Amino acid sequence: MDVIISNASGTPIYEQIVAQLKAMILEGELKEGEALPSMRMLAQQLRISVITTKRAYEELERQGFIESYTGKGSFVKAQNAELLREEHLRQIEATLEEICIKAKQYGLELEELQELTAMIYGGNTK
Amino acid sequence: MKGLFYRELYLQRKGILAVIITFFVFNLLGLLLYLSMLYGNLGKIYASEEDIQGIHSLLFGIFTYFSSFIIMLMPAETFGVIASDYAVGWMRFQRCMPYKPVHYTLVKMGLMAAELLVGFVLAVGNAFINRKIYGVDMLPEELLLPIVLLMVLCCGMSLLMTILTLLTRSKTGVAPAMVLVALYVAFMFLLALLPEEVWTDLENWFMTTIKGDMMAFLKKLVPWALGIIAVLLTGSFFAMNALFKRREK
Amino acid sequence: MKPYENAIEIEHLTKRYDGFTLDDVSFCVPKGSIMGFIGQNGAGKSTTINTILNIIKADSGTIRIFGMDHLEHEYEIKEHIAAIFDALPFHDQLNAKQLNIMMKGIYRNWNSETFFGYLKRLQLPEKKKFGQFSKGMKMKLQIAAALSHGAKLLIMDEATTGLDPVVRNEILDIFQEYLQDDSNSILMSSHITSDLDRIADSVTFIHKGKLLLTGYKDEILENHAIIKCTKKDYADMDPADIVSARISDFGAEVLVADRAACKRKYSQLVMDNTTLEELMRFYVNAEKKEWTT
Repeated sequence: MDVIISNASGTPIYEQIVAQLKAMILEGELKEGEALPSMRMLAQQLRISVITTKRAYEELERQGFIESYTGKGSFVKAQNAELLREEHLRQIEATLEEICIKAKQYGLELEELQELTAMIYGGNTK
Repeated sequence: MKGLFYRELYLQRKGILAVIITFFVFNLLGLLLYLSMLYGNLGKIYASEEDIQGIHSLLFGIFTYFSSFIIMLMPAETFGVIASDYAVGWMRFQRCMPYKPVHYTLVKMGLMAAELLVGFVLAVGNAFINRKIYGVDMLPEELLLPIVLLMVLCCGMSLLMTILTLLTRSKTGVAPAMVLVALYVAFMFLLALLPEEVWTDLENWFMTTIKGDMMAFLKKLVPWALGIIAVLLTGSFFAMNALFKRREK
Repeated sequence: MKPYENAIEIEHLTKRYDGFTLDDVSFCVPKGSIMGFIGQNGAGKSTTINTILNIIKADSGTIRIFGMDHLEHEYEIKEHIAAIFDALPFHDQLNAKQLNIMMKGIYRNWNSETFFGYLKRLQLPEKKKFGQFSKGMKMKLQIAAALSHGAKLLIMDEATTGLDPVVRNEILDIFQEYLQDDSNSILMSSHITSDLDRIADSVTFIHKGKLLLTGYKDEILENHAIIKCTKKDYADMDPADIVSARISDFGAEVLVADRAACKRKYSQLVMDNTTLEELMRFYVNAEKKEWTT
């Protein structure tokens, strides 16, 4: 399992871990029921504080991606299609927001944007 | 606590060995001198019977009592180790170990007492052997007397050193040995300054009250000696304990 | 030992000297964590540590270690503590093998195998006299000895000062390994904050005998930010938000203690992450309010 964190990035380290683990779970790289490394082990490997990894795991659990059992460890939770869809929708919405902001900046009207979208979606890339 | 004994013994080993070896070598030297006198070149220089008797006693005196003094230097190692304990930071580290100050005192005093005992046995054995060799006619008590006195002196020195260490370490970083030397020099200096009359008075007092009965006087001391030694050693124990108990300010 | 929550609990610790007072210091080191104890030289770190180890006596305050009063249960506690100082407290003529024999007769739980295992791993010779060790080797030896009697708490007083970065990292790796057992804790005082930036779980920052900050390192670093702006923008800021500001010819760097609030207030200004070292510098100058390098 590869987790890469950057000190220089603006994102807090625990958020970076959450994002990477989440991606791995969603993409199926981490399978349902698979055991994650212990918080301490991860902290040691990444050479960071165990409080950070603990936080990351707690966040992942809160978001429903993993389950933690004291004494046993943390395991990937079964992902149902609903959650997955929600996550994907979230990603698309985020990108769309960016596009809309740019469109407004360059003075593109909503109709023009929709035309463009339809064209691209239909497989007609420029 | 075994580990502490081991450490103490190991650190003192060089000093102890040096003293013991010096002791034996010194005595061997005496023996060689004596042999030289009887059968060798020295004998040719000293012709008269009187001289030879005189030399016998002299040699006996030196090689028995001075070497006993040497052996009594063994316990001094303890203080050398204490000084280096401070220098190295061991005194501070000791406070982080699960032992009370009294444990450390027991270890140091225990070893010192053992050294004194060994020293005493060696000195006494040496005295008897020398008596045989040099053919000196002395009763056992007379033989042992100076050795016992040396022991008392040694314990007194030990107490003095402990107290000095206690005092100097708290106020200054000056090594107690330096203070001792300084005191000694000062004392000698003062003695030298004493006017002539005081010396003659002392001599007179010495002649009249004690000299005549020197032996008897000292013989009276011997049974007390054990008691005095016990007191001195106990004093050293408490002083050393105070040393370990006392915290840095 | 009974179960406990905090390896070290210090409450209202005060110690007065001529010219320096450790004043009402309180903090905790949770079990299973590593606490970075930072501050300048002479800030009071060693005094605090010496009181914990009962090398000096405090004037007032309580200290609990493993949940037990540090004076009442002093000797039981010390069976499970290892202290590491900046100099090797063993005589130069000793070597590791002899140290092993010594320690076996000192600590109840001394494990020779563990000790020799560490020696091998840290590449320390068994028969060489300590007098011939380099500074880094001496420190590694202290650590090997410290970790070989089942100590549940490591207390280090400026132990990594003067070591080269390679050795320091080796040591930090060993500490992280030590912490894999979550009943082990570490209190580490240092003024080399880069060591602590990454691996410390919590930090306590002491300055001139007073406690400035204590808490989880992540939280502290996240709550603070350095705003980089023009001198004019700086002048417009609310002084209550500012810890202190570094003024240069080209602008101002301002440390703020409430990042979230300041982000809203000064949204157009550039906000940067901070490090423990920067925190230390800014807080040390907090009285001056404005300073230059």
